[in-house]
Amino acid sequence: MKKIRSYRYPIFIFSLFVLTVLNIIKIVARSRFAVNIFPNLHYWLWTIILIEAVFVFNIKIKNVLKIALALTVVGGALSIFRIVIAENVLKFGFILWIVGYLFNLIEIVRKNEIN
Amino acid sequence: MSSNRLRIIILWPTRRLNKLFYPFSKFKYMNKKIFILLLLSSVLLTTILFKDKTILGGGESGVPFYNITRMFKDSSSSWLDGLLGSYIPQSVANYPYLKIFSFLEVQGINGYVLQALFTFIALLISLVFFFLLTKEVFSNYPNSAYLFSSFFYLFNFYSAMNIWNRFLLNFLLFYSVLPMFLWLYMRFLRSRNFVYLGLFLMLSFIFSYAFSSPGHIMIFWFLLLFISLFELMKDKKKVAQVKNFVITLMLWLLVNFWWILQQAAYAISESFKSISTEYFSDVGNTIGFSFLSNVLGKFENLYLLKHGLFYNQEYDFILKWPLIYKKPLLLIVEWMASLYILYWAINNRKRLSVVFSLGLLLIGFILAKGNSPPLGEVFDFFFQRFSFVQFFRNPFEKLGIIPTMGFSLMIGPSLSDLAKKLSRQKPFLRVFIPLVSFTYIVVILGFPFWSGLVFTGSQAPLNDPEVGLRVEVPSYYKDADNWLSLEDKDTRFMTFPLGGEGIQYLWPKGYLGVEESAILFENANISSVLAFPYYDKIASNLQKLFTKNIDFYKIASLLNARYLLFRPDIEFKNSGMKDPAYIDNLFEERVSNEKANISFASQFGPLKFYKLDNKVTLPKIYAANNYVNGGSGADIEQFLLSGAEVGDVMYNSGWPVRNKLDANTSFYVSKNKAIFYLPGPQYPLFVDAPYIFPYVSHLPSSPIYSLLIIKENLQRNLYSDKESKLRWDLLTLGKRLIEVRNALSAGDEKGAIKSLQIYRKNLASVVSDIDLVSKSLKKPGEQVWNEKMLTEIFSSHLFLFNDFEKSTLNSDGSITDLKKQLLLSVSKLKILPYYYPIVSEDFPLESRVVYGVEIDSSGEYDVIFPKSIFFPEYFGINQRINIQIDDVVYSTQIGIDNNKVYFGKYYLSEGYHEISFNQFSKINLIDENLTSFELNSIHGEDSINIPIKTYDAYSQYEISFDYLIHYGNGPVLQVSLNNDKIIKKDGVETEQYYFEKYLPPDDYYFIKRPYSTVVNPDPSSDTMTLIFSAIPWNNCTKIFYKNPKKCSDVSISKTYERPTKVEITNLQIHPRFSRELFVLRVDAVDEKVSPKISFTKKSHTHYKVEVRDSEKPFVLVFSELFDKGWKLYLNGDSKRYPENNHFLANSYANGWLIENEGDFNLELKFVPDKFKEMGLYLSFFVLGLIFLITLLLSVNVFLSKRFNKGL
Repeated sequence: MKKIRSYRYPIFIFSLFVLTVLNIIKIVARSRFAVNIFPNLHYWLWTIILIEAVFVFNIKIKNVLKIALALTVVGGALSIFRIVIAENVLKFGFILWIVGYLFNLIEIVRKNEIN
Repeated sequence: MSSNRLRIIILWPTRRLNKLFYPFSKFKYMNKKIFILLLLSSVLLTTILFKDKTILGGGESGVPFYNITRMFKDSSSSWLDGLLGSYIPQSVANYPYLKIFSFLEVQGINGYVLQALFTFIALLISLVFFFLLTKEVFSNYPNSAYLFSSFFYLFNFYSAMNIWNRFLLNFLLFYSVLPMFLWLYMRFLRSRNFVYLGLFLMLSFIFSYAFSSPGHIMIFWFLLLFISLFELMKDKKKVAQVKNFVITLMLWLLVNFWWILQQAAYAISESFKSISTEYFSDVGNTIGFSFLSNVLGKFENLYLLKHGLFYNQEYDFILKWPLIYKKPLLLIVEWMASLYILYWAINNRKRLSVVFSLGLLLIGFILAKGNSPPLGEVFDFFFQRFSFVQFFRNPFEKLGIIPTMGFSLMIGPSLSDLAKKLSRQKPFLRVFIPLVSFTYIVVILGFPFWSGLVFTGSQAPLNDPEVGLRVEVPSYYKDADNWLSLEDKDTRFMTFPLGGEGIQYLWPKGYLGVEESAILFENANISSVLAFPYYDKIASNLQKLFTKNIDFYKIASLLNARYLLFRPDIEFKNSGMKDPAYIDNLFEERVSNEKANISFASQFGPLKFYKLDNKVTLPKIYAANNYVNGGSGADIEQFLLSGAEVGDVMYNSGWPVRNKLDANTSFYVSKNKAIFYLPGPQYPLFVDAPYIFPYVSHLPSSPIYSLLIIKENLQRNLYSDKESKLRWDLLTLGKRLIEVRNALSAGDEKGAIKSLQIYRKNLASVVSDIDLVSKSLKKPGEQVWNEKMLTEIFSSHLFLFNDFEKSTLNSDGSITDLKKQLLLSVSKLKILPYYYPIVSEDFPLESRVVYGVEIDSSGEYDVIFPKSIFFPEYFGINQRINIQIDDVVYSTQIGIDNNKVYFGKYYLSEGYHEISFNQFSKINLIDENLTSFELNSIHGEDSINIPIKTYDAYSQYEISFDYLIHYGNGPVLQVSLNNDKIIKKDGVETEQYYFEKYLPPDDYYFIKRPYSTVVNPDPSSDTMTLIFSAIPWNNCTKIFYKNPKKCSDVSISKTYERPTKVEITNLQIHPRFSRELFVLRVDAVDEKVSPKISFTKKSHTHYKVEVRDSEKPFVLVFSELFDKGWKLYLNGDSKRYPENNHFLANSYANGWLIENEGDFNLELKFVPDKFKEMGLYLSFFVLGLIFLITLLLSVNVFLSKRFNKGL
């Protein structure tokens, strides 16, 4: 576990780097290759980055969940007005829900905080 | 005996056990008032639904409560004697539930009362036990919180659509009893009281119907595992908790062993293997799964538990009720409820009950959204690798139950907390919040239930408020059923008009749903085309054979059917069936023709029964006279063509017993395996399209060529589905050939060889992938997936190979070899013919048709067409034509007899052959004065209807014409059939044309253009009309592009209207040659003397057969669907008759070659049925044991209380 934790910075930076490169290729070069690979990969990269971000920046789990809720609120509101990006916002929100939920569960089990 | 002594004797054994478990006495039952409230709610809902005293049905569920006893009989064995017989082990799990209801039905209780009782029980169990489950998960809340959860579990968007609107009884029951099982299991884990486990197990026996789908079992055990994990986290005795889970699983398996064993035996049976390969394919499932995940897996619907289409698309429901929930105000309320629960969950995130419920919600979302992003690849991974996951092809439909459960658990306690919190600030909110909650859950979400709308559909008659799912089966069905049962309860009958799985009956209240003859009649019958092995091929061909052949009685006798039923009480257009009037006339004709051997038997209401003459019927078990070898894919049509008579048998050539049968076979008849049309005059045709040959930038000898190949492979792997991967492979295959061409023109021979090597390597995998994809994605009428595209691709490849053959590359013959390999592969796939068309002056390449035939016994064969599908009126006869057999051309005279058209006799050796000739004498099927006309549309539409003469629904038609648009819009060609569906468009009923094509004008240069198409009409149609139409040109919407709605005002739109003038010339419609060609050989064999056969039916899975005077080996035919589970035993011997002698007879039945002589007895048994008995004994034993222990423990508790009170 300790060993894994020591890799958190490189993993975080590498994931962020790949995501940025892909985004640049997608936006600037409009390469079909990048467009194709992007939908498969970018949610995974985001998930890794968010998990790493919790470690790197010591984000409180409550805040992760609150951001997830905030994104869900925004996504929900956008969906009421049938704005196309609503679904993407909700998807990012959902990733945060999963990340937050898992950290919360781990914390409960680790600290034995069961009520 | 003193009371103390008695107490010790009774309590001692149970006390020992009781030490292991938590005392039962600690359990507190639900408040009586609450129970009465839930009871009254269930009664009220049931009353609303059944106030008209009619059973509910239609859709996928049919009308099961019309005749439960019939269903019960079916569930008593895994072999169903309906249709032609079928192996359905899932039905066995319905046994206890159907036993109870059929017992009540036999006592004279009406079907609708039983259905109401079923619904009431489901409602009550669901409400009561979800209340208890919420109470168990979230303790210390007021009862109102649990009540809200309980009502929300009933009234939510998921249950309204997926459970109650679909009304599939087993799913409905599963949804209702799931909280009960979860609660009992949770109580067992927490209290360690065996009584809960005992009840859990006993109830799982009674409600086994809820587990009749493997998907339900998986969800059930997933939820139990999830509960166990959470209990494990909490409990210090972790080993005990694991033990409890394992014990529960083992005991559940034992208690349900009787039906699980059946399903397990089926899963490893040959029948399942053939079904899973023929009807379900991984490729088709993956595509369906991806599509449904994409459509139904959107979070904007999931957070609200909504079905993505049902609540968003504009279907024709009463009041368009699902769309009411899409109104912005209600959407805001729906989102607020979801978001509040999530907010509450964050604030209570340390409570294990919240973590448990939120976990259910989030994991449920991941599962219910299928493979759609984010992180859908995980589900996709399992879906593509494990076949059992494919039960969740529609993930939202089944797995949506998990987030619904998580959501329902949290809604009550969260609202209760809100009320508590707010009432501290403003006391009046203590009442206000529950009131709002009640209004939202019970009034708004419950509206479709209280109003009965949830039991209506989107199509007529289901969207009629007076009808909905109400079904009233006319009484003449009961009369007809009684009459037929008395006449002969073991015979089958066939019904005409015959259609697919769905039907619309013209009953008093109407009916739209699955075809219901299996429930309406005790007798087995063939009344619809269903996807069962062997059965579907026979049923789908039956109506054609009936309408085309006067000697149809031969087919009826093969299928062991003595009666034919005429049913006119159908809406034939919407059911996609033949016009009953046509069938009625046909029956009249047949009755008056002696050759048909059919007579009128009886009439009930509009239903008419016709009976076949006794001399042309066969018993269910018979010894065959003559044998017909039907080739590898024999179908019953070949039996008619062969000239065989009633009492003969047909077999497939693929069985081990074939060699023994061939020695005594009189008829050999095979149907073509493939058909190819070569319009000519050029073949192979080169199509230089980018989807065949993409741009090539680098030659194979280029240093970066290897990198390009790597890039191609990487790009290929980005496609997740097999179909897209195959398209990519086809593209790169063409690219290799262009590389060869470019390399050759650059003098780079090495490079060309390199590309050819890759081509050779990839061709094999592409060919096997085409075969795989075709199995599931081939469209009706296609021989192979994307037939037209593949023909163009490989024809173009062939064209290039012809070029390469002339080059120096072919000095060693390698190009010729590769070309042969290509031709062999594509001819096997039915894309291109293997042999090149021979062309000469008197045999030009013109509308040539090539038939691929597989011969499995060499000899002289007649090439024939059945007269019923080869109209002399269409093509003419008595003429000489050239015919190419493989690579030799013969000249032959066309001849005709009673039922066949002959194209000569040829020696055909064993193996693959191709027979080809030019289609000839193509007459134009429209009046000469209608071949050219003008369409002038000044105001409104101008159209012309052109009827087709001598129409045959089983033929294909080539339509061609030239059109010149003088000015205005282009013409529209529509093909109208007499059974076209009638649909409602903007409230107006309109015909949905079978074919429609708009030919738009050119942007700049208006010239005469040709158009041609091939129409493959619906075989159930009787007439065809071509409709040409044109409407005035109008650019109103272009001018008002910012506000096109303005143009819906006719007065505005009309001012922009300009006339249209279109000229149609040279209109022709020609029938194509039949897609089916046969080869027939008749051999003289020694006359056979069949033994005398008599049999008794012990049950529908057990027959006793007596054979007398058997002189030679003979074929015993048992006219029940072929299944390897049917075993034959000789003279009561426990040893089975050799499996190699068992074969597929008459395209569907069981046949055995019996090689014993003299007199002997045989027994026929369906062996998998014995698993049920074995399983039942074991399950009953375990159940009895559990019952005793549970009873003992309960008595112990009861007595302890009494004695304790006494003390």
